[in-house]
Amino acid sequence: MTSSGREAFWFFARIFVGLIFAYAGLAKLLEPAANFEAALLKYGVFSPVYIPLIARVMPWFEWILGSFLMIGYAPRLSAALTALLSLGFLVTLASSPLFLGAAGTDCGCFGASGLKLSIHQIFGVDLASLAVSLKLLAKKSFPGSLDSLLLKGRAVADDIKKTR
Amino acid sequence: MAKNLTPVIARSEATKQSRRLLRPCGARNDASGGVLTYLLVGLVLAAGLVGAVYFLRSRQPQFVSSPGDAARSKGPARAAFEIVEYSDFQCPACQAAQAPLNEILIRHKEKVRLVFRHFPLAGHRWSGLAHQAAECAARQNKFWGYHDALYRDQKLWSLEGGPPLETFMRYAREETLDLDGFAGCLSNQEVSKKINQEKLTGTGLGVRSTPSFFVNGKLVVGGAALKEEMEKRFAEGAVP
Repeated sequence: MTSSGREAFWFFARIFVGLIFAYAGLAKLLEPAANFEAALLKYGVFSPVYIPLIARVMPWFEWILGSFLMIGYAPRLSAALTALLSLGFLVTLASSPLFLGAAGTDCGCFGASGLKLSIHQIFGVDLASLAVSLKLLAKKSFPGSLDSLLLKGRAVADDIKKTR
Repeated sequence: MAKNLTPVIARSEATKQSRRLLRPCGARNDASGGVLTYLLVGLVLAAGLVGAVYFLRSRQPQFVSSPGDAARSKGPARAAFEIVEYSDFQCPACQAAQAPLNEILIRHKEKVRLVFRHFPLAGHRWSGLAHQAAECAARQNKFWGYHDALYRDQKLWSLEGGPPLETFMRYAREETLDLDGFAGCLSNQEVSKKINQEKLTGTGLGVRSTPSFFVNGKLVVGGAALKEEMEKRFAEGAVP
């Protein structure tokens, strides 16, 4: 693959992971938190005491981090956090009795009326998200990102200063 | 001394690392003003994203009457207060809210009209079936008796290992429903679609948990809050 081909691939990979996170967050934020609470309860991993808090906080993280990654704002920090979240999701999925027992169950990751993915399907998506996030974390430049635009703006301002 | 320096160096390395993550790609260290602008851009973006969620929530469908409201309402049609209840038959908080709700209805029966709306929560195993059964009872104008039976025995049918069809058929017999019609209705896709549509309307109105009530359009969440709201309104002699 050529260098520009590789850049295009990682550009779309970043958009893909960002989109997955942003969509998962937004779909849950536009629904009653009780729907996500019920989905979390199904996993049998979290203490019921923490479920209402997780159900209210997690979608905001997903929405904001996913959008930041898509736009390309603080892409390395966003990628580090999406990697952490993906890892957390993978551990949750793997340690749930549903993973072996009822893998066909809707994971509830995109709300009750959003995209329906089974436990195994979302495990695959999370694995891919983790791999892409880790690779993005190691990257030095992010073409087509807000970061690169901000940097370009700064470079122009510096040049103007120098010519004065 | 050297012993104490190690954690300080480690901390400073960690700070450098976190700054590196946040810094725009390729940006230089001397740009403290640039970092501030950068953080400001992030704050504006985050605020925009939060605002977008609230905007989208506000753009969801507005309060509309639901077909079937008539079969699931009680109290005078021109009552001073209309309570629209969004409830889930398998939700324990909804069951707990029935006592204060019934107390309000008994004490102020001339002034209050209650409308029940379906809001089965995903993850409550038999909730969808319970709502379908109640809707089928509503189609034979026997909704309220069936509704009371479902809440009365919630703990029993909720724990059944398979679909509690036998139990729901028993309630239908107790309510003297046409059993053939009821059994046919239980598997009617059109009925389940209608229930889901009603739930979506509730979501659009801002229902985020059950039970949620609209008292003359004002959203009140939970049985205790409803009791408080109604007591306040009756104490003030408030008539809209």
